[in-house]
Amino acid sequence: MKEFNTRFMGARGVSFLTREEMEKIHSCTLELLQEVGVEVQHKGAIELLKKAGCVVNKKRVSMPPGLVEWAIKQAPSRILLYDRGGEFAMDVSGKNSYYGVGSACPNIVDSFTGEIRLCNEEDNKNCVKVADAMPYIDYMMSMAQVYGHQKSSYEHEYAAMIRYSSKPQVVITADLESTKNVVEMASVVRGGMDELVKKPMFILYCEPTSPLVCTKESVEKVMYMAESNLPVLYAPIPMNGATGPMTCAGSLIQANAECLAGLVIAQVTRPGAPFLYGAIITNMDMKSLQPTYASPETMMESLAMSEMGCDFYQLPTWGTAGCTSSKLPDEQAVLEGTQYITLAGLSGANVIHDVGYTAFGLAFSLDLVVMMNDVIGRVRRLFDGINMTSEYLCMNDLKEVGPKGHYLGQTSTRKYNSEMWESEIEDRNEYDRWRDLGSKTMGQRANEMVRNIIENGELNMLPKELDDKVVAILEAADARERELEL
Amino acid sequence: MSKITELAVVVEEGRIDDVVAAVEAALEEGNAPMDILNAGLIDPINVLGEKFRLGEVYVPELLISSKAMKMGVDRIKPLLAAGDVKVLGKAVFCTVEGDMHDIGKNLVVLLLESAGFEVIDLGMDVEPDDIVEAIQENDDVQILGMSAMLTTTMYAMKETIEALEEAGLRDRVKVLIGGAPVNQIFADQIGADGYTTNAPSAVELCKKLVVA
Repeated sequence: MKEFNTRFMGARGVSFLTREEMEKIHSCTLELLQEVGVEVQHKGAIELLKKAGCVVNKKRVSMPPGLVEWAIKQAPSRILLYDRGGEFAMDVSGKNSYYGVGSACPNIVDSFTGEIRLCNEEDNKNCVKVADAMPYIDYMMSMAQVYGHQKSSYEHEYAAMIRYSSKPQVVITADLESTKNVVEMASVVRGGMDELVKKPMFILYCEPTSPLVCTKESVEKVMYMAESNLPVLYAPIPMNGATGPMTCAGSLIQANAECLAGLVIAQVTRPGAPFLYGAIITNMDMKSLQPTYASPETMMESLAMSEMGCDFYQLPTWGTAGCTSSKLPDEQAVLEGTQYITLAGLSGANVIHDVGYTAFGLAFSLDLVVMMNDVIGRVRRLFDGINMTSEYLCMNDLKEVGPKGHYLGQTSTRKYNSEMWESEIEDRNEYDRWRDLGSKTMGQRANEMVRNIIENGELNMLPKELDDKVVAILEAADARERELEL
Repeated sequence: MSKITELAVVVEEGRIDDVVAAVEAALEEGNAPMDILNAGLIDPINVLGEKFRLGEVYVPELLISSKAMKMGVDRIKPLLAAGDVKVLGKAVFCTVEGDMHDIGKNLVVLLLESAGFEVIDLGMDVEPDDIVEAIQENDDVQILGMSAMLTTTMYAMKETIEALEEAGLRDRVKVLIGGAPVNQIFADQIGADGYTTNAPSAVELCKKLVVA
C-alpha cells in the first residue's frame, strides 16, 4: 500500500450528531421503511423481499425493522480494494479517507482554451492521464462523459481508466449489460472472476431515485454485484426542498431509508455482500432551481451520513468533496472544494468522490483537480497530527542551541525538514523570484501543470496483451450498440 | 572506491559523526593532504551548492554538510603548509544595533563559509563603534555585511557607514546590506555597495565584490 494511503491519525474531529440524534434518525428511518416503504421496480427483488418478511403491495415494499437491522449486521465493515497490478491500495473501513475524481460530467472546462464545451473521447483519455499523475488522488472515477456511444459510453469511460491508470476505481454503468462488460474488463486484467473477487479493483456506483424509488436498473446492478460478491454502493441524491424535505434532518431520514433499502436488497440477495453506505444530499437553490452541491447544508448532511455509516452502523462509507457549483476553477471553486475536502477528511468518510466536479456536475475541470490534489496533500499532513514521541521533543537541540542560537545547522533540522509537506503549485518564493517566474496566480500554475501533463506526460499503459483484450471487449460492446440501432 | 571518494560521500551526505574517521582513512591510504582537502572536502560542497541552486537540496542539507566539511578541514589543517588553504575572501557580518533578529544574517554567514569565505560574525545588536573596531583590527577584511529586521533599526546601517567614513575606513571595505525592510533604494540612499533579497544571491554578490 502506498504511503499516501496511510490512516488519518487526526481524523476524529467533526461531529454533527450525538448518539441520541443518530438513534432518532435510525428509528425514524425504520418507521418510514415500515409504514411507507419503498417502490421496488424489480420482480426478482420483490420475490426475495417478500420471502424475507416484507409486506408487498404491487411494487410497494414495506420493510420490517427486524429485516433492516438484520441486513445492517450482515454487511461487512470493511472493503479492501487492490490496484490494477494487484497491489493492496485501499482499506475502506474505519476513518480511512480516500479521495477520487468524478463523475461522468457532460462538459469540460478546456484547460487550453478556457471554454466550457462538450467532452469527447480525447478528454476522457486526458482526464485519466492527469488524474493518474496526481499523487493524492487515490482512485479513478469517470470524469468526461464520452459522447457518440449511446449505450456503451460507460464502457468507454471504464476502458480509459483501466487502460491508462493503475489506480482502483469507482464505476458508473448504464445498465446490467454494461455492468457485465465492465466486470469482464476488470476480470480479464485481474486474471479471472475468482481473482477479481479475491482482489476487487472497483466499487460499482448505483443510485435509487429520490424520493423512495429503487429503479429496475439500479436494483439489477445491486443484485448482480451482490451475487458476484463484488462491492457496490447505493447512494441516493435527494435535493432538499425538491426530491427530499427542505430540512437537513428530514432529508437525512429519507436518504438513510433509500440507502438502507439498497442494503437490504443486497443482503437478501447474498448475506455478507460488500456494500458502501452513503448519500449526497444537496439543497436546491430556489432562485436558479439547481443543486447547490457544496453549500454548508450539503456538507453537514454529507458529514452526518458519514457519522451514521461509520459510527452507528459500522459500515464503510461513501463521501463527496472537492466539487463546486461554480462554472470555472475560480475562487469559489477553490473555496468550496477546499472546505469540503477538509471536512470530509475530518469526518472520516472512506471513499470521497467528485474532486474536480464544477457547475454541480455539468462540467469537469482538470485545473481544479490539480489544485484540489494539493489541498488533499495539505489535509493529509494536518491529519498526521503532532508527533509527540521523545525524539520529536528535540530536548537535546533545545539545550544545545540555547538563547541567541539557531537551529539551521542541527541534524534534526535536516532530518525532520523532510517531513514538512511541500506543495507543487503553491507559491512560497520571495517576491523577486515570484516576479521573475512571471507573477503567476495558483490557478495559472495549476493550468500549466495540466497542460504539461497532457502534452508531455506518459500514459500509464496497461501491458499490451491485456490491453488488447480490454479493447476487444470494448469493441464487442460497441457492436452490441450497432445491433440495437438496427 | 578510493578513500577520498568515500570521504566526499560522507561530506555530501552530511555524516558529521563519520567525517574525521573518513579523513584519517584517506590519510592512511597515502593521499596528499591537499588532495584530500580539495577532492574529499571542498568538491562535495561545491556539488551540493549547485544542487541547492537547482532546488534539489535545501538549506539544512547544505549546512550540515558544511559542518562536516569544517570538521574535516580542522583535522587536516595541521598537515597543510601555510597558504595551502585558499580563502575566497574575508568578511565581517553583524545584525545592527537595537536589532535581535539575526536568522537571515546567520544564513548568509553559513552559506558564505561553505562557499570558502572566512567570516567574522559579530552577532546581533552590534553598535557602529564595535563594527568599526572589528574592521580596524582586521586589515584584510574586504566585506562588511549588515542586517536589520525593523524599520526602526535599519538606520543604524547609515550610522555605521558614517562611522566608517569618519574613521577613514570606508574605502577599505565593500558594504552589503540585507533584511526585510531594506531595499535597493535604501541601499543607494545610505551609500551601501550592495543589496540582495536572499542568502544565495548574497553569496554570489560577495564573490563578485571580492574579484572586483
